[in-house]
Amino acid sequence: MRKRLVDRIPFAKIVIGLAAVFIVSLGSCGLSLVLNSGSARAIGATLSIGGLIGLLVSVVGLVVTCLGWAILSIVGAFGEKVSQPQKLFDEKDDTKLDKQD
Amino acid sequence: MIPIGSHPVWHPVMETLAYVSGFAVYRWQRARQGDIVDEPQRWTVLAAAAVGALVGSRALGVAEHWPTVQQAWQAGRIWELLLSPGGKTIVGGLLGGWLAVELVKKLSGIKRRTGDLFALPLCVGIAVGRVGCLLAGLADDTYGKPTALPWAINLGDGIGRHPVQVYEILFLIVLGMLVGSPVKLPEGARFRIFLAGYLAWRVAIDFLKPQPLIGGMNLIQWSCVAGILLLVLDEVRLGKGMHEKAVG
Repeated sequence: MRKRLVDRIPFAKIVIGLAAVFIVSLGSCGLSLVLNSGSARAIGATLSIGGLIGLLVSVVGLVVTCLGWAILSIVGAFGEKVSQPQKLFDEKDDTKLDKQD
Repeated sequence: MIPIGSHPVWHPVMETLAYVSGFAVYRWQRARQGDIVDEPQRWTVLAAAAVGALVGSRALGVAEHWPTVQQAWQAGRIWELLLSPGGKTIVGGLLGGWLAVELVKKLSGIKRRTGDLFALPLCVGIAVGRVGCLLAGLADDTYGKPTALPWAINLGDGIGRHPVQVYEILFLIVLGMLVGSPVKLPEGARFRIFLAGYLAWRVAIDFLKPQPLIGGMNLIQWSCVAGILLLVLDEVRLGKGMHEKAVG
């Protein structure tokens, strides 16, 4: 049987990955402030830009991934109900027929 | 008085170290003890915990500064306020993460109690994060009330204060020893002991913090009380379920 789209995309792993990017970006922003107040201003500026980009990408990514996950889960659950094969005969009736044969 | 000063730039660095150390302890524990749920289910639980914690910590952090939020709303700067760094709370993160995991477990049909593996990592992570709060000093909203005790700390304003962050680190060491002990406990008990213990601790310790009160307690304390009530209700519900199972 073909897997549903929501099961094929590793949403949980993507969310954890983005959360990790968010955390590292937060740390690098903080570290850039520490370095900017000292002598290593060039490294601080690089870290600051990288951190801000990381924060932005991870926050947007988290929102988009969570929304996608929720929508596909709902659609998947709905589709599963709709696409259930229609039972033409009741199981009990089948048994009866077998016995008659 | 012990001079500490205020160094807010260290807060985000220590916050990141807190997450990293918590995750390292989680991985070490999982490798040592194994897991009660399979890998995809664990990833789902972790993702729910991460998102719930991020949203919960920010939501309570923003709610804590309600007058500032109202001003920002009136000035049309609400996005600026929501996206600005800082303003996150541990209690909001814990409650948000817990509720999100319970919701996702219900939706995805996970029946096992999955929190035990998080109890010790949370103790370690929060303790490391509190070092950042201590270093941030007056710039962070977590400093203590003035005191004349010999171990009072000076955060740069010349006033001796309760080192509430150090009190909390000491408490977390004790709580960590308790939830990390090799004693056999029922499934889910370690996490519930951690959560109940930490929330009760915050109700008590926040009386030593100079924060605006609503009905005798601050917003964090009221959230902790709500969390404890939810835990009790959940325990009663689970106890009833087990009793019905035994009878039936």
